[in-house]
Amino acid sequence: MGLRGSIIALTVPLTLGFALRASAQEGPSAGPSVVTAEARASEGIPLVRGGPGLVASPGSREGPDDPVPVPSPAAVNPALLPGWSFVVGLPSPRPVRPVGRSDAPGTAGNGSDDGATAGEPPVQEEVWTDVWGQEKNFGLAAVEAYLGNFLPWVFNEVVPGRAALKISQISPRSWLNNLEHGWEWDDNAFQVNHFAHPFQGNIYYNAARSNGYGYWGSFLFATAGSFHWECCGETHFMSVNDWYNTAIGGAAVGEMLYRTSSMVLDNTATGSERAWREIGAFLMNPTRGFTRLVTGNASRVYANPEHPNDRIPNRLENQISFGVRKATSERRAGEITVDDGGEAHSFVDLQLVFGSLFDLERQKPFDFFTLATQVNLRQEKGLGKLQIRGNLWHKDLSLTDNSVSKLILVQDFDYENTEAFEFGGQGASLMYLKRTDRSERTSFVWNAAATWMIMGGVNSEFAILADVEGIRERLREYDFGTGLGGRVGFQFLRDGYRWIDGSYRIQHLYTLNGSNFNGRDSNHIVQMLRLRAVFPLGYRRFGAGAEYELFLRDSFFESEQFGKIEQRVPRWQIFFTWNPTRNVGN
Amino acid sequence: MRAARTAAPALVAAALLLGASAVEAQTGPLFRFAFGWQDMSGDMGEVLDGAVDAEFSIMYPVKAIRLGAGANWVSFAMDDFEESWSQVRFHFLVGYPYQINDWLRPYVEGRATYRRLRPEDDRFYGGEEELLRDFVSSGTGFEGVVGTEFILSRAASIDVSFAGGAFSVSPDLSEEGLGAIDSGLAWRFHVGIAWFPTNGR
Repeated sequence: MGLRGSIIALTVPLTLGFALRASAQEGPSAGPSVVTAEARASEGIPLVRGGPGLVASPGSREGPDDPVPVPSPAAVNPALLPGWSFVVGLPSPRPVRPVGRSDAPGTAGNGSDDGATAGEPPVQEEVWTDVWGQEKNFGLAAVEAYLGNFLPWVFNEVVPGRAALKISQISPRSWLNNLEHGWEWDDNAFQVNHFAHPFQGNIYYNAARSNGYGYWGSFLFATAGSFHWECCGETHFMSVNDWYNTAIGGAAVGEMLYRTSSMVLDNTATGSERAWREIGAFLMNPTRGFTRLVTGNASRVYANPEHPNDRIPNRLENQISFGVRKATSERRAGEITVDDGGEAHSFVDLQLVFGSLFDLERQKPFDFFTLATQVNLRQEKGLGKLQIRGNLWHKDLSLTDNSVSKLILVQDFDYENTEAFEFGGQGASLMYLKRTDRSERTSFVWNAAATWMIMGGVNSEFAILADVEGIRERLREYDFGTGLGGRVGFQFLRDGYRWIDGSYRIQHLYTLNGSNFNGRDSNHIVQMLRLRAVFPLGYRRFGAGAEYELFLRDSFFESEQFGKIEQRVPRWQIFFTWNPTRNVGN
Repeated sequence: MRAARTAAPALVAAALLLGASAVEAQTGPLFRFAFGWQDMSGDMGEVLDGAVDAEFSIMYPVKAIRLGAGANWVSFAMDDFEESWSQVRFHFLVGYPYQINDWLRPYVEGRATYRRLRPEDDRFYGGEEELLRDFVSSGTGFEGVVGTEFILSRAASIDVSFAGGAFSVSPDLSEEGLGAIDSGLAWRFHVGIAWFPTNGR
């Protein structure tokens, strides 16, 4: 170690040390004056946890007589400097704000300890929590996200079939090697890249979401967690398509699971009902369930969130269908036509409409979202469809007695994996939406959207020639691409029932990796038409319906030998529906 | 090693400056992430050269001691060979921290280890040939650790530690043409972060 290194080595920590001491002498330097947990305990002041859902309110099951001593960020030893809180995960004193409800006893919420003497009402403990009563805990969120990578690595290391792949032979050497090499594309199966990775991203996302972070903060966690896996969780080169799908798709899947698990949870429930609700939410969203177990919220009785959209929205449509579906596929290249055949099979699908775009009061992502899934029975590709649309931002354009129109920024998650075609990816759309009420019972809704597929995938005949550097595990059958498109939709509603639902989408995908081998361009134009009609059957929770879908793909390859290939996949399905929680949708 | 040599005197100096300050004892789970240098001696030291390693441990305090588990990763260079060997080592640990109310918190740990040694697949590092061998030599051992935590806050500490231990593996490396080597001594020096994700509560 040279002289310069010695000076730096001694100066930096010593400077840090003086800063620590100076800060320790100053004590808490920002934020409201707050009574610390230790001070309360020493003075015999009862502790009442603050924040929505935690503050004792009249009639609630938790009251001042049953205080729950919970440490606040301000209760941290004053010797700890606020400036380090960002680095080491301590909530900074500055963001701490009074959030106690004014109707709750003891919720002065003024952040002052004046008058906190015996005989007076207990002073509100000022702890910021989210609407589910969870304090923001960066440390726990980061550790959960880390375990979300560590446990899959252990799986790869110890399970014989996985260990044979040798991708778990990680070390500082592999990490440095990956970081130096940079991003590549991979050749994993479509369901791995477009479903499994978003589902993995949901774990990182909910590690943060369940620890007090909102949509955007949790999205950053998904981005960082995915990067960590790509660089350091396996020996493969870092895959850029994995990063996009895990981070962006993880946010869509994660927020959807957070919202749906919120519908199952009930903080006021007790006994076996509470246990089953917590188990159900755990199975739907394991990361959130883990957080609730660790923090004790799983067993604590306290109030539910006040806003309906934070738990069960005022408008909710949940439609489960069971039926039979027939699809055929035909491809044409010049004069040559290939009939790929097709067969009928049964399916179950779930369509969920959470909230209503027309009732949006807050700029909170996914206060409205739709979920469409389809599970194919007795088919090789079980999960045939997973589609999520959630609002990120909205603006009211007009509002009259019988019509309303809005501009909405939507996050799009698409996954369609059938025997005939593959299409999916992460995107966003700017949508114009208008609803007109023709009578008290009848409404029309239509929408038009400009879409951007940030990164998507579509089946392609020549994707097997893709440039994939590093270890080839298989020949990929789909291209990765990006592109713009458009979407229009129409719905006819009667008595809140979605009688007719139609949509058309056209999407361009410029191939980023796949059929564009050797510098040759390739492009795909995908069109999807969907018409669905459902009719109530007497007893209004049940209905019957039919749906027609048409998938068209026009692929243009720069190579003269390949030229243009068209694919046409019409699909018919008939089904029965059950709407267990039907309300007015949209 | 250079970073470690640089950091050690700096931490000692800072610790001397702040060592007298009292802090509150921390409870709750503790995570430790560390990088360092790992080398071998004994029989295994004849074929494996030292390399940078990384380690992760999770611990939970039970009264005065800490119980935990973790993993360690290293890619050893080989004496007289072009290839490298990968080692994954899992461990269970029992630790005892001293001076839990001080800024400088020494500790000792005893560890039971299980390691897997294998030729590293060079495909991942630009090699063209797929490694056809699927040889793994694994076995148990023990390790003793002495270290200290330099408390930064309720949530985090800088951790410096030195460890040494012995192990044996099976089968021996003769199948790989490296002789009947089935044991060794492992040494390492680590600098890392000890993290109480629940702020030490």
